[in-house]
This record gives sequence, C-alpha cells and structure tokens, in this order.
Amino acid sequence: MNSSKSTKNESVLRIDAPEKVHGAPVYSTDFELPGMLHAKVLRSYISRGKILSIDTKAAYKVPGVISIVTSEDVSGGELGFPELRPIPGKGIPPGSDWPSGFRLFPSIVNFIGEGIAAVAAETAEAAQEAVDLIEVEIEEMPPVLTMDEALSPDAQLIFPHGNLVQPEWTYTKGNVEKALTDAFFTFEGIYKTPRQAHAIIEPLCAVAAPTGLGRITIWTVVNSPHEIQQELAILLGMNEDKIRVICTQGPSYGARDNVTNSLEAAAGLLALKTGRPIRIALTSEETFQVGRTRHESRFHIKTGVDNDGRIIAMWGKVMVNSGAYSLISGRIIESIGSKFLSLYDIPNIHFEGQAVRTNTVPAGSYRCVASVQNYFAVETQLNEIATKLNIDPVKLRQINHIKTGAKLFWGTPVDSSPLERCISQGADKFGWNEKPLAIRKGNKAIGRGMAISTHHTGIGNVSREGSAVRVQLTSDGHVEVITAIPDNGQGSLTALTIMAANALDLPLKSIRIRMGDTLDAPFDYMGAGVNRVTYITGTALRGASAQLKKILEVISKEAQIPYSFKTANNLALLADWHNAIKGGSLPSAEYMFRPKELDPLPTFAAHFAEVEVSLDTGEVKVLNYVAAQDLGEIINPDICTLQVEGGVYHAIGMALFEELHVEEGMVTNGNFMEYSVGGVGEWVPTDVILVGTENLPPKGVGTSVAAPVAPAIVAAIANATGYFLHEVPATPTRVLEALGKL
Amino acid sequence: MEKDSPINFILNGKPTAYDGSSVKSLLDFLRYDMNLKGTKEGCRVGYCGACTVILNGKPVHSCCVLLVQVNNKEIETIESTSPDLETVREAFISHNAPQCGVCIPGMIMSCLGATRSQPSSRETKEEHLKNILTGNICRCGGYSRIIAAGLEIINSEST
Repeated sequence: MNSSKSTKNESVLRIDAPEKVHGAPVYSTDFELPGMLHAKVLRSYISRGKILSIDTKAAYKVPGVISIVTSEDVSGGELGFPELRPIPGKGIPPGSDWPSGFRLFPSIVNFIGEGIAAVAAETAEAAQEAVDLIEVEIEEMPPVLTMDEALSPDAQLIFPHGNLVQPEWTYTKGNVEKALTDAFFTFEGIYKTPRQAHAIIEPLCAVAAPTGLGRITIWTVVNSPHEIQQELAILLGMNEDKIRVICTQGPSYGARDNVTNSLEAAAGLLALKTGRPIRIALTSEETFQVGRTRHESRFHIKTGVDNDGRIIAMWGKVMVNSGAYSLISGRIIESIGSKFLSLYDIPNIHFEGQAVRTNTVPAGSYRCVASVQNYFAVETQLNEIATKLNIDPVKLRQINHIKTGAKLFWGTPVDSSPLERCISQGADKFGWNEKPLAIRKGNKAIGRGMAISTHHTGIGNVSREGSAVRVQLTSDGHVEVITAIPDNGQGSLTALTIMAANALDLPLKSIRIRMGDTLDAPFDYMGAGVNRVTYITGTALRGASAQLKKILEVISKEAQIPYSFKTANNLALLADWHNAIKGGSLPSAEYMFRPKELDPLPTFAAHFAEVEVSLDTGEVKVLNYVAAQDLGEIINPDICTLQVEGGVYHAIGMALFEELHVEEGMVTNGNFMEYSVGGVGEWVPTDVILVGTENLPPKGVGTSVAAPVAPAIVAAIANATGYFLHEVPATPTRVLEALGKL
Repeated sequence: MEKDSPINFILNGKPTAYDGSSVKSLLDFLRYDMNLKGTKEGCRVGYCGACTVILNGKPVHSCCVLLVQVNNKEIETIESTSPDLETVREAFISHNAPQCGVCIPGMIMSCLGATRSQPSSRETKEEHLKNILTGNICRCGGYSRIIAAGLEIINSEST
C-alpha cells in the first residue's frame, strides 16, 4: 500500500488511523468543555399516555442541580419529512408532506423510554438523583404495540392522522391477477425480518455549548450535519444559522441519521437555558432502549412462473413497523417499492406497502435500509421457486434479472453488466458448479445458497439529494477541501483525499480535508448516509477541484511559478505571490452536484454462502462466504474490501442471531450481554470480489453489501435441511422447529 | 463516598497514588481523573472490551476493575510508550484495521496481551490470539484486519 500518491487500483492507508491507534480523544464521549454540566433524561415508563403534571420541586433540592427542562420550556415544533420533492408531472411522492409526530418532550408520550424532562447538574450522579425525584403524573392511554393491532378496524389512533406513517403506497403494471392464474406454477409465502439494533459500542452522546448571541454549537456523531441542523432548528424553534453542528468521530451504521429522542435537542435547550455547556451521555442500555432500530418487516409475496422459469407475475404486500416516530419511515415504503419493482423484469407486477406506527421504540436508518428487508423476502421466494422447479438458482436469476436497456422504477435506463459480472465472478470464485447444493455427513448437513440484490447509491433526483464542496488554496501551500460530509468510519476521509489529489494532480499530503462542520461547509443534503459519498460528494469534489486547478494554472503562469505534481511545494510560493500581488482571499472554487436521474444509481451484488447445519442442535455455521460487489469506479480497493466484510458481518448477525426483542412495548434484551452481536468467534471470513467498472461513477459500498446476505444463508440452510425458513434470525430453535424436532 | 488509605500503583511506568473512593472503576479513574481518554467507554458491564487495559501483564476490562483491586499493581493503557505497543499500533495501521475506531484501543491492548503471553499447550498461536480477542467487539466487523495485525506480530516474534 502507498501513502504518498494514489494510482489506479492501488490502495491508500487510512489517513485517520494513526490518531485512532493512539486512542485520540476524537469521539463524542471524549468531549469535555470547561464549566460543563451533565444532564440526564427522565424517560417514560409506559407505552402511551398523556402527561398531566410534572413536579420538579424535590428534584431541584438535590445539591448540584442547576436546571430542569420540560415541555413548558420547548418553543419548537414537530418534524416533518422534507426528504422528497415534487416530481414534475407526478406530484409530491406520498408521505412527504405528512407530520412525523416527533417533537422534544411531547405532552403525550408514545413509547417506553421517550424523554419527558431533562436535568442538568454539576455531576451526572446528581442529575440522575434529581431525575429519580421528579414526580410525573401520566394518564395511561391504551397502547398499540404491534402492526396487527395498529391496523385492526377498532384500533386506537395513536396520532390524529392515523396509524400509518404515510398513505398506503401502491403500484401496478399489467394484469397481475390474470397472470397469476395463467402461470404454470404459483408460489406464495409470508416472510419476516426482525428489529435489529445498531449496537454501537460508543453509547449515544451529545455536548452542546452556548456561544453567545443566542447561538449554540453541538458536538455529536451524525450522518448529515446539515440535516441535523435543520431538525434541531425545528425542534428548538430557532433559526438554523444560530445552530452549529460539528460531527465528532464515532460509529453510526445509520444510527445517527436523524436526531435522537431527547438527546441533541435536549442538550441544546439546556445549554441555552443555563448558559453553560451541557453533556448528555446515555448509558449503553439507554442507547439500546431509545436508539432507532432496523424496521421489523412482513412481506406477503406471490409469484407466477412459466415452466421455463420465466417470472410472469409478482404480487407483494409489505408492512414495516416504524415504532412511535420514524423520520425515515416517511419514505421507506417508496424505497422498498422501488427495489421490489427494479431488480427483475416482470411484465405483471403489483406492490403495496404500509409503514405502521406502534407505541414502541422508533425504527430508522440502518445499513442497507429497505433492501435488506425486501431481498430477504423476494430472494427467498426465488430460491424456493428454483428448488421446486429444479432450476439452478443462478440460472433463474440470469433468466429474470433486469437487462441493459430496461428502465428502473422512475424511468432511468439500467446498465446490468455489473450485475452479470457479479453473478458470474461470484459463482466462479465460490465454485458454484463444482459441488452439489446439499451434502449430508452424519448428523451434519452442508448446504449452499445464493442471492442477488440492488441497492441505491444516493437517493436520486426524486429527493432533495445534492452535495456542494469547496476547495481552496491555503497560505502554507495545501489545498483544503471543505465538506459537511463526516467520516463515520467508512473511510470517506481517505477516499475524498485520493479523489482531490488525483483531480488536482497533487500528492496526497498536499490535501487537507475539513469535514462535518456546518459553520462554513457548503450545503450537503443527506450527508454520509445512503451509500452516497464517493459518488455524490465525490463528483462535487471533482468539479470543484477541476475549477481550482484551472485557476491555479492561470495564476501560476502569471506568477511564473510552475504548478505541477513534482513541484507541489510551489503551492506555498504561489499563495505568497497571490497574497502579495493580488490580495484578498486565496483562490477557491465551489461546485454543486445533483444527479439528473430520478432513480438512484443502482448498486448490484451477488453473494454465495455455504453453511453447516447440526441436525441435532439446529446450530448453523457459515463455512464459506463469497461476496461479489458492484462498485463502478474503485477509489480505494482495500477499504472497499473492508467495507464489504463489515456489511456482511452486520447482515450475518441479522441472518443468524441478532434480534432486538420488544415485549409489551419494552425492549427486553437491550444490552451487550443479552443482545448477541458477533465477536471474533462468530466472525466469518468473507471472500470479497470487487467488481469494478471504469466508465461508471464510484458507487457506494458500505451499505449495499448487506442486502443479499440473509437470503443466501437461508437458501443454504434450506438446501442442507430441506426447509426454507421464512423468518430470520435463523436461530437453533427456528431451525429445529423447521426440522420438526421441537 | 467511602475513604480508604491511598492506593499505590504504576500507571504507564509512573508511580501513581490515588486517595479517593476505592469503589471507583479503573475506567472512570483513567478517563475522568487522569484525563487519559484513550481508554474508551462502551458498555460498562465488561462485555464490549472498548475499555481494555493491561493489568499486571494481562488484558482486563477496566470498567469492571475497582481501584481497590489495583493496589501495588502495574497498569498499562493505550497512552503507554512501550516499544512493543508501538509495534502493535503500526501493524494495525498497515492492515487498515481501524474503521470507526472506538474498539481499536481495546483491541490493541488485547493484541498486546496476546503477544506478551504464550499459547497453552492445547492452543495454536492463532487460537491463543482469538481466545484473548473474545473479550473485544468490533461492531464495524474489522476482525480480519485485527487478527492479521496480531498474527503478524506473533509470527514475527518466533522467527
């Protein structure tokens, strides 16, 4: 690996590694300020109820308590779903103008753990003691705890506009009913995926400080500083320009895609009220209790196929559990629908979907949101079809997947060649044709399975998607890149450095990146979410860099100081010359990029799994895993490989052992002892194939990789045992139940 | 807070005395009394391993160690300047091991513990490393690099 200049297909070591291996205090939980107070949150112990009164007298008597805030202190409002925009000729996508119900310290609580009040004190212990002394009177209201309850005809309406997050979303092409009747074979099944916890090691934490003239600065982990700034402005009833958001280092996996209940906004409110810095650090258990989860899903799918394996009809009805409030649920159904309708070329197809509110912990973004749920259902049914019709699962995909020239949901023509290469290269590496799909060895059964998927890079022009980047010459001879994008660990700092260095024809060491601060970064909608950084922000960065390069070349001629890679130190001389002769700001350029296409850039994958199932205990062990991942242009191969491994790791967790249990509205396994996440013992070595395409943009890698994992593993289990599980995780209990042994 | 007689120990090579509550955790002492923020704070129940330090040569979860337990002992944290710790850090950098990086100081201390100890007669070197790393979670899923970094050092020591 190289640490000076990047050339094609050569990896660059992570730029942030040296400080991370020294344990540098760069995380939100490391952050402290002089005079800082510690805050704790009073949380609802019931699933749904109206707050009648809050008595803080006893709490205020605790030594060290400075301030307590409740709904009476909140002058802000309720968040909406600003993500989607009106599409010419098609109107506003459903749901984008519906209220979310999400506000700071609401008068009606909607899930166990929802914030009711927050106490700021000199110590965290004093704050917690005071929280325990707040007397709150809540009139219990009947809660809605499951999706079925929420949709029953006599359901309690938990929000004035009903129990759906958005109007039901429906799409139909052709005559599905007739095609299903006419089909040679028809298959039907119901498929379920669980809530999964991000299980971030660093618990949720935010620090807010008043910075004068009614302004506040907030340090926390976020995916999108500008979106969090907008959300805080609404929740606190402030203008955005009075709120500065700075993203610290720390994990996300989607956990930090929107504001968290009673975290950032509560810290900001207390900072304004007390005039002192405020730290709210949740415990790991609180993080499991109130942090958003992956959406629980239920898919009902019917597929009609001809006797040659050609799919002629598919019908799907989808329901996801958004929990009490879920900002991203405003578009998750549209997102699932566009996946359902895009991967296969099916003449008769119907999709309908509902995101349902319940009085449970809110769901939200999670690595590969929408696609993970969709492809577990769709790909499992396709694997069942392959088994029943005795068609090679690979061949079934090759017959039916969308082909070059066909159109994605919003009408963008697709290039399917990366998918074709993922399938063929993955199958070769795995040795798909070299072994049977099932081998029995005594009480152990070995099975093999595969699945394909597509996921979005960015959201496409259907949303407010867009990124602007500024680059500027510095007085010490560097080029500084300023972007609101943070690096939550994906490696975007290093990737963007490589892209800037190559676009400016400079060595890596001449590039500095300032990330994740709303103060002076050009506007970026969506941040580090949805797989988008290298494509959307990267394209903006290349545009800005090309402009700056032109400016620098002109100045370099005038100053007679050469601008080239070999004389990079001349940048400092150029800056000196500019300051002396021209004056004013040093040369800079800003560029904004929005993709023209309504559809997001599709990112394909084909994964292959081999598992060993114990027929006595139901335990499943992954023996061999191959992930072939479509990347478009590859920026930093080694980090891409690692991102694929990480995405597969998260998804194997959901496939085999991870499930956040919510019983009677209460998270019951919300800690690292009871919620299993894979450690080194559960980790499965993954053979990664990076499928690059030079003339395509640099597609995202971190999230898209998770989609085909669970269906590939469930197919392998089915080939080993003869039973297709319709629900994950495939715990030993579920496997034994399928085998009829429980 | 109960008071006891001072607790004396060696912290990163320096004699250190502490005269406060003996039921304070070593993690809180390091982070909030000594401002050694390199030891990260995760689950606080001895499971995630983000707070791993070396206590008398062995990796331990500092959240589960009380100060009363460290009297007359030697503690080494990620801030230590030991040459063999630097070797582990370099291996982590060259294998691109850190992603979000929160687990990394703990992972490095566990790998350091593995390089300073011998496998039992029933373990291979790799099993020995993995057995010690069972106390650490990397939620970014960077185990391939963490194992590769640890093995590189363990294998180079024996040659």
